[in-house]
Amino acid sequence: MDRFQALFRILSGKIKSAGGTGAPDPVPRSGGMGCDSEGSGFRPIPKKLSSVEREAGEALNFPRDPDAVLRRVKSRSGEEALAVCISGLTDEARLDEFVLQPILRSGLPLTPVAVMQGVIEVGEVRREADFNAALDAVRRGSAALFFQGADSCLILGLHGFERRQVGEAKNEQTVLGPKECFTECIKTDVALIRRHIASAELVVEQAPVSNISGTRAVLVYHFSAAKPEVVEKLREKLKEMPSAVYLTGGTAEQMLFGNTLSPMPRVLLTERPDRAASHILSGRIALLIDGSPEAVILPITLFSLMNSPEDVYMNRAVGSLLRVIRYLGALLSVLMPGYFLSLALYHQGILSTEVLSTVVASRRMVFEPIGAELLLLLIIFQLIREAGQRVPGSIGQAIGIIGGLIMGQAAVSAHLASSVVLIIVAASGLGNFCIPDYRTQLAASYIRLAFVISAWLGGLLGMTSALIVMLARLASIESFGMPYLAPLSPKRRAARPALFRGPITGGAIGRASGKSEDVM
Amino acid sequence: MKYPPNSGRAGLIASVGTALFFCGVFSIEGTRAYAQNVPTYIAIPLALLLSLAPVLLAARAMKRAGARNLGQLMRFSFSRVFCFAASLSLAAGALFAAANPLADCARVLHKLVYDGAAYRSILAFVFVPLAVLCVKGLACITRTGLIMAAPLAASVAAALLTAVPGYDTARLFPLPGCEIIDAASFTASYSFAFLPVLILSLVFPQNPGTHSKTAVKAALFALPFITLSLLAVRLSYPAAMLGGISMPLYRMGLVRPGPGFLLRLDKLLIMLWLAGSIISAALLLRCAGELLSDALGVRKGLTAFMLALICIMSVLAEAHGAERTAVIRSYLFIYGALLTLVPTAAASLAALFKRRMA
Repeated sequence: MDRFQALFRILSGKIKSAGGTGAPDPVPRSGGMGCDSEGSGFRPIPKKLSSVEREAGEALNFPRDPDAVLRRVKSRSGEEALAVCISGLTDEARLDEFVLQPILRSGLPLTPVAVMQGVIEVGEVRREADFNAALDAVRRGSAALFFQGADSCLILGLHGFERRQVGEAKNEQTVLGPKECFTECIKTDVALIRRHIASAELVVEQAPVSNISGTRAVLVYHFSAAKPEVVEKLREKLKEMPSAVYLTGGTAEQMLFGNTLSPMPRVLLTERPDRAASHILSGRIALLIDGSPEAVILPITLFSLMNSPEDVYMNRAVGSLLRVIRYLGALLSVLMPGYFLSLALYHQGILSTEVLSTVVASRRMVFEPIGAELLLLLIIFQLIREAGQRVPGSIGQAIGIIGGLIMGQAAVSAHLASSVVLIIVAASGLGNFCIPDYRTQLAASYIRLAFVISAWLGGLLGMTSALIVMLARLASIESFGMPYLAPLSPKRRAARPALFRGPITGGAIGRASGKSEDVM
Repeated sequence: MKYPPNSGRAGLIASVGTALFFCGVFSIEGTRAYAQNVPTYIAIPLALLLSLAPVLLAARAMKRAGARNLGQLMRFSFSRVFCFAASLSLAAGALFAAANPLADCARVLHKLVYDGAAYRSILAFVFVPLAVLCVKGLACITRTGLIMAAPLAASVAAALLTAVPGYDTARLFPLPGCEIIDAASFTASYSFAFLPVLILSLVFPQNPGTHSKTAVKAALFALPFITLSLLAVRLSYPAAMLGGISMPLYRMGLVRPGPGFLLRLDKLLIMLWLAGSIISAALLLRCAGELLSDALGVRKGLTAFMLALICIMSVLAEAHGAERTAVIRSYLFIYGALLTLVPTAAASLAALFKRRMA
């Protein structure tokens, strides 16, 4: 019952702060709709319009800043109003047509309530009593309308800056399912999630972040599915974030979990609204940051990072098979080079005579030790991959082909590398690309290097040692109270094995919270 | 509040079961067991069941005293000085129980896999994960133990199945019953080998009354693996040969006729079992470390790390002073478990007595 009351409070608060044609009082002191930050403390709006003009001009660096616009208008009744906006951020044509011209034509007295109810023709409008908050809203693209003798102003949602259109997901491509992706505009991103979850229990609340760049962020979660203690903990962590950092998905993760040396991602960064919606419905929280085209999903487990949206869009058998192949690929990627090195260096007895003779024959004339050869090729593979990502699209593909085929062939011909080791590195690289999450791919690459070095030092014993250390490390990670290896370890009651996809049963809201990994 | 957080009972059962398996199969004092022709495949499972008795007593005492772990029971029963002495005694028992399987694995690795390497180098590779696990804590150990439980079970099953062509029932002769007194004596003495694991599993904080369930489930989890492994060993080798073979479970695949792909994978088995030994040792040492740190008021991670260091040093010392340490080991094998039995039984009885007095 308490939860529903709280939900009602949240929702009713939003409706009030949204303004529009509802009752105008009480006047809020800071922004609504989860969009505007609270500024630097409350500051009353000066009653004299000339004071407002002077102070707003100082705050917006007018007239040195050519984009700052401060325009006085006088109505037929002879009363004055001041419109403040920033050119390029605000849609000036709409400001003229729907705000300034109606005021010029109006014979009504110019008060915030009268203008809001009977003069201007703007849908998104609210009253604001805090001068700092009003200026913050202006800096974010709204227009502010001040009146002579009034202790509040109107904030008009006339954002008009250029933004990227909703496009196709590039980093998480799928054959089936929706293709759209998040943009850098937080309002668009929230709208994309709302389209997927049209529920009264979807909560969108302003994240309590205060940073030097004034970047806005919102928390999106399902009221019944998300654990309240996790939401509260996240709020606390966000409050403690240092302000002198530019906020993006990546920096938010580092600030939430501390600057550890662990390469494993602790949050899921997704550019797909359908994936974010799926996680929200299974009890996770999405942190959307203005200017960042990914949603930060948390808490997560390692298995969330290994899932792909396509697992769910395919039928159960095919989805499970895809997952098994992906896990095999990941294991190959991490363990195969080290395992091969162990066998070749320390445990030749495990290899058959035929394989051993092939390895020996392929390494004839190769000058460097096999460990160095393997490490060198792995590093070159990383170089090719990095180079391919940094250069423009078609050239990047060409670099991959040139690096993979021509350089590999040339290295074998020049006896810089053996063909067997090249095959091992290529297979390991392919396995690495099976991992759906980019940052997990990178983490797997670094772990692979650690395994190769351990194998070089101690063969299978070194690998066993490294494997236990890695498992211990993974087992000790927690993401907002959720163990990283759950539901495998610790076991979760009613959890399905993460390796296979479970049936889609419906009516599953709130069931997850770490119990099931059958989300995208 | 649950502690360790999110460790889960399944992880605890799997880790304790793994430790019991390694104590049951890898720590056998072969000379004594097989020279007397003891049917280990009966005696050792019986010993495991027998060793549950003191644990059930301790669990009952904890339930009566409302203690959530062994440390609370000790503080309830003993004064501060006695509590410290009991913790020290339990830590010594844990050290012995942890070092045994580790030493067996390291010895086999040194002899059969890395014959040219220095023993200390092998132990260095063992020490790193052991120390990491000890420092990370009980939740980490049980989670790692749960992940490794399935591969370990699969590796034991693989070892038993690949050796099937080499089994010969004639090797079981003379049948159990011929040396009944020796077998009974062996069972009684071996029951103490499992005690450190079972008793130290009580260090995990749980709701009063659930400790006994955890211990029984772990024992039942380990029991079939122990029985089948020991039976397979006896089916593979005659008793006369087994006395001189270290880790016969690993080597029984060698009696399989003809070469084969699976036979070549034997080194993977030993690596997996080494991983299991390390997790078992870490579990024991961390539990002992928690008890000691409670008594001493120092950091748990530091105490567990020091115990891991002492454990590895003692394994190294055993290899260097084989003659002397073999004698010490055989004495410890018989009487060492008293180190865990006496303080636990005393604490349990004292708690039950105190409760009745109250």
